[in-house]
Amino acid sequence: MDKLGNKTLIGASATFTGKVINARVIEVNGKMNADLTAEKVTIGEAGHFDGAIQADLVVVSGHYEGKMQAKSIWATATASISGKLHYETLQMDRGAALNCHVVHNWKAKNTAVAQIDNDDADLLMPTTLGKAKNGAVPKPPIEGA
Amino acid sequence: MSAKPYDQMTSFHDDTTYILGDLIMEGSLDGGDHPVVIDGQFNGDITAIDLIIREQGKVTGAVKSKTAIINGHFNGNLICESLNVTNTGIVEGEVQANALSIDLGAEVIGTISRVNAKSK
Repeated sequence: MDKLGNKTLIGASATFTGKVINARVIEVNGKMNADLTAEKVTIGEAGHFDGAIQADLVVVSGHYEGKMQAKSIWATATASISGKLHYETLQMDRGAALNCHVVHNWKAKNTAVAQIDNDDADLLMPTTLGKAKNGAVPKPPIEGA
Repeated sequence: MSAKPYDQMTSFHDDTTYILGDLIMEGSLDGGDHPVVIDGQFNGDITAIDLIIREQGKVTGAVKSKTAIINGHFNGNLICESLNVTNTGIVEGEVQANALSIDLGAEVIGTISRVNAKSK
């Protein structure tokens, strides 16, 4: 019977604030205020997401604010993003509004998490990114930067 | 029983809030005008029109809803207009409901009373 068995949904009129553990595929059509680690995150046209996302693929059609780290980011025509994006591949449709810091992680594929962690550890939540810190040596800040 | 049949509520679209099986959520959730279906685990407060806790679902916390159908596990404080605990359901805690149905096989442990003030 399960056509609903494959992803977590936050409905259009729903509001969630809190913590999410063990998310895989999640679609946000309502308002969500959380830090999220997942495989795929979709923010629907009416969706509002506030918080950090770490995922393989993020499709943004709605509003996003926060710090996102994803292998692929797709900002559709209705997207509005503010905050900070770390990505390997980024697609932006005509009309998408990006008002944010964008960082490409191409060369740092495997160490991306650790590097970001060193960049600005204070911005990150310890729960999702902490485990990637293992053995990472903090780099001194670049002089003159 | 004014709650919609269980089957009717599983055929829904993107407006429904659905917490997938192995997911754990903590915090507060307001389902708005649409149903909330829980297959995973939720700790915290839920406000909803219709709440369905499915067989694998587990909710701990305070719930306010119009209708509630519990096939899974609920622990906490539940206020609703109509409540159905099915034969796989387990309810522990304090329940306030105006219309109540408990199927044979269900476990209900705690106090049951009527809703004092009109709630959502």
